[in-house]
Amino acid sequence: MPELAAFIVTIAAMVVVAAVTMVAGLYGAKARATSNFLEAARTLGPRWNAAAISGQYLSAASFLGVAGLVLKGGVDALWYPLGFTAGYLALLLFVAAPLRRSGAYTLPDFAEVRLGSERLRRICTAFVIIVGWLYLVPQLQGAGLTLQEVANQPKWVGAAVVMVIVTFNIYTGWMRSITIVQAFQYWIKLTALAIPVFVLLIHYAGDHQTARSSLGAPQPAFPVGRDINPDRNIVLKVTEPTRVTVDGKQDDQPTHGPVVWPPGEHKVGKGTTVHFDAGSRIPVTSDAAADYSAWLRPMGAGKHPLLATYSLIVALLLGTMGLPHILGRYYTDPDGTAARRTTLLVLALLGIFYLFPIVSGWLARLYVPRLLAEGNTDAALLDLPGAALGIHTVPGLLLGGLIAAGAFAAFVSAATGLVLSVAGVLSTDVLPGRLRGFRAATIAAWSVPLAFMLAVSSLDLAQGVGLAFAVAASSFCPLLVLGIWWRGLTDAGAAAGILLGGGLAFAAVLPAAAGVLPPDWQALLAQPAVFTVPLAFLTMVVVSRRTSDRVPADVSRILLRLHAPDRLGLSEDRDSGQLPGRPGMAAAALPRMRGGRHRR
Amino acid sequence: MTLGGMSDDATGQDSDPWAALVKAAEDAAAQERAAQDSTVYPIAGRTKAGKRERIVLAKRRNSRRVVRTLAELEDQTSVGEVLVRQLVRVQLMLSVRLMLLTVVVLGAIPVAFLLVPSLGTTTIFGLRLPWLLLGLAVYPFFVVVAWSYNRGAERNEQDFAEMVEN
Repeated sequence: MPELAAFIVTIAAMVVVAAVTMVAGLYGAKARATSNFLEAARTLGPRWNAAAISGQYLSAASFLGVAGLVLKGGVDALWYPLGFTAGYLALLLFVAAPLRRSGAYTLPDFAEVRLGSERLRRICTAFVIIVGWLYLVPQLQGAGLTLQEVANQPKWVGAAVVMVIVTFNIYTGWMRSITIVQAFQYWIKLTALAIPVFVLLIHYAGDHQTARSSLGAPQPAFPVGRDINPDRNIVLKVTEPTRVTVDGKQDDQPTHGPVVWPPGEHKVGKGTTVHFDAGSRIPVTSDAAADYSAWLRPMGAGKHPLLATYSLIVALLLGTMGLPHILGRYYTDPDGTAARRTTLLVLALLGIFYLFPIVSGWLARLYVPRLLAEGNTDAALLDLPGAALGIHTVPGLLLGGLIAAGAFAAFVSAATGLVLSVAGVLSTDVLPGRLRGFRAATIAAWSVPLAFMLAVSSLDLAQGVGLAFAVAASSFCPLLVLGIWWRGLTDAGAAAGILLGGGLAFAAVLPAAAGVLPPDWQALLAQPAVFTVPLAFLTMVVVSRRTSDRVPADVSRILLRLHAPDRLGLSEDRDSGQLPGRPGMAAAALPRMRGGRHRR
Repeated sequence: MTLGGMSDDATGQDSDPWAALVKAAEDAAAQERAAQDSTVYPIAGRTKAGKRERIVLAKRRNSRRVVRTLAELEDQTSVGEVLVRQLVRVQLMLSVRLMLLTVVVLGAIPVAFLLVPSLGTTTIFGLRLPWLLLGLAVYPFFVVVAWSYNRGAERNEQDFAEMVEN
């Protein structure tokens, strides 16, 4: 019965979110009808576009994944939200304004504008697809998890629901890159997270029992006897001799009946049921911080913590600039200066948002530590209100529904942007045909990650997204940074760097994504950026030097266009045919003439 | 709306750049004429109620010279080339300086915790220092770095534009 109530509340919350989104979309469509689409979007200004970029960026990994990682890894997990944000600082310092002035809408566009090579464009297209697919897998995984937690549905149902909504959105054009809708998504996600966190903090302040028992003990205990039933093979760590009743496979041996686990690691097979008595300490999976003090302390969990931390920072810091669905959004800014101001605001918006998943990860350690034993920490946020306030209570139900709806908003907006980006390059550069090609490409863009997610889903959401960042950082970051700042770059050098760096990064993360990674290799393979990014830069420089006769003849003119102040009016847009040709000083006057609020 | 698929229009050589430049000069001259009544007019072209609007008290002497320098930039004469190289270098130095600052600050945090484990258990206002640093303090730090970059980059561009226009 509570499940049915939870299901109804969640669906109702999702419908409300969808309705709000749709109203915003119609509003946006009206604005589009009154004038040229891009012009309409550009009169909105950096504030709207910053919210739109944040809305599209905050995906399953940020909404659910960060809280889960904090629950599992403690203070070490804080590097994830930090890196997710810092990526925009690198993007601002090296890419934002020049990229906007280049007039390129996608990464392959930029490669072609800068280096004029059709072959390089194709290579970039391939990597846009790879990065997009790697990024889509965790979105689908998160959707499956959400419906599994709130409505007890198998994982494919949630993923399929998200993909149906995304396809519907794209076919009807309701959410298609409309700035207002994406900006709304940011505020929806922030609200859906901030309200539960505030309520739970107030609840925690008056909840002395949980506060005492959880913070006093080195590791929380099961208040009542509980069955653990992992849906994948996991390794559990216990810190004291623990009596359990096993039904299934334990340490690769079929076991049925009571056993006592000595302190140490114990393998539990998929589908096995392990019963823990009331009062026994809750075990954690092998990659989690073993006890409360390790959780509070830096470098409390995992192997090679320093190397893994640095590699993660490199990937997140440099990977953001290579995310295809983010770069396209900058096209909405009227010029390079606006792109810079937008990015500054994005940094502020993300900083505000990430406060809440971090706090909820901390609350989850107090209220839902059992997830550590199940290896299902991504569900932390979804289970938190029910565990703290009671699943049968009205506040527990409402807050749970709100969080689930916010999570769905996160999957849908991020997945829409990603599917659009991947389908865009698939239809223009890979598949033949135009409109029919785009529809077919939309299906192709999500069917591959969906199949992959159903076959294997072993990583945490935020870690899964981290793989996409590693590949983007090893391929597109060197292309953008060298392309914008170094006139010696050649098409051959860029292609070699992308293929070697990006290819190696992809080869390294694939076993991690497929869940067949030996634990000893975790640090190197699951997070290869610290090696592959410098390699990609080095390759590009060395090969470009060797092929210096291939430096484009108009490189100075292109660099001037990328770096010249906007008021000189030297940058060119792809839509310059629609804007009256008014370069020079007049460009400065244009936004003033169009700045009427009625255009929204 | 086109997604991807840009090829020839990107380099946009369909309109005569000279005609565009002459048009630009005419526009600039028209602006100056319009501004002559009031001796104050903004040339930064900010639309929102900007806090730091640039005020120019004297009108430019000769708008034809603007055309010539712009043309030099576009045609990559040696003068134009030097100017552009200088702008790119100044902007790159600014970015690299701020990136180094960020990387050193971020990179020092794990090392500090590794070398001085007691830092990891220090408590401020009832919260552990690493949690405060990594969960809270870094975000305003990012915003401050970004803000100072925007200021610096816009000033560099203003200097460049003034050099070109005078």
